[in-house]
Amino acid sequence: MIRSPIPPEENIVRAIHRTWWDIKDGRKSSSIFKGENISVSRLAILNLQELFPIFHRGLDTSPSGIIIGAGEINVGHLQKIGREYVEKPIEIIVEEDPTKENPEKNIVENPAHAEIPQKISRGLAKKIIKELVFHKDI
Amino acid sequence: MPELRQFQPSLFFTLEGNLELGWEDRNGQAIEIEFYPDKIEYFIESLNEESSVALADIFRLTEKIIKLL
Repeated sequence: MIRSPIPPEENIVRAIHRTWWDIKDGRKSSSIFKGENISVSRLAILNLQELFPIFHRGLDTSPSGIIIGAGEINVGHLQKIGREYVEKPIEIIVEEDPTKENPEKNIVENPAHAEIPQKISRGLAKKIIKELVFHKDI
Repeated sequence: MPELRQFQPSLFFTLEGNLELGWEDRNGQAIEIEFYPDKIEYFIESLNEESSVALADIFRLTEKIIKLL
C-alpha cells in the first residue's frame, strides 16, 4: 500500500516515555527520535487532548515506561534539519499511516498515526530533539 | 568510570530495554552511551562521533571520554 507523504506545513508529535526525559536536569534521550520507522501523530487530524489517551492506551506498558509528554515539530522544519545535517544529510519523509484497532498486535486505533521510515542516527536525533516543543501530559 | 559521578548523568531506558546514560562534557556538549548485551553504542557531540565498541573494548571508550571531562 502506497503511503502519502505529509505536507511540510503540518505539525507532528512524538510520544515521550518517562525514561526518555530527565525532567530534573532537562536532559532527553536520543531514543525520542532515533531509529527507523519512527511513529508520530499528525496534529492536523487529532489534537493533543485527543492523542494522549491513545498514547497511554497503546504505549504505557512499554519497558521505557508510561507516556509523560509529547514533542512537537513542523514537518518542513524536520526535513530542513535532515537536509542540513552535515555529518550525513538525509531526506526525511513523514508518511501517513493511520492505524486500526488490532489487540493481537497491540495496535490501537489512531487515525493521526504517521511514520518516518528513514533511519535517524543518534546525532541527528539529538539535533531534532533540540528543536522539539515539549508538551507535558498533565 | 567513577569520574562520571560528578557529572550526575541522566539514566534512560530505551525501547529495547537497554540502559543509556546521557550527560554533557566540560564544554556543555552532549555525550550519550547505550549498553547493549554485546556492545556499547556512543555519541560524542564535540567529536561529531557516533559509533559502537565491543564490551571488551570499554576501556578504549572510557579513555576517549575521560579526556573530555
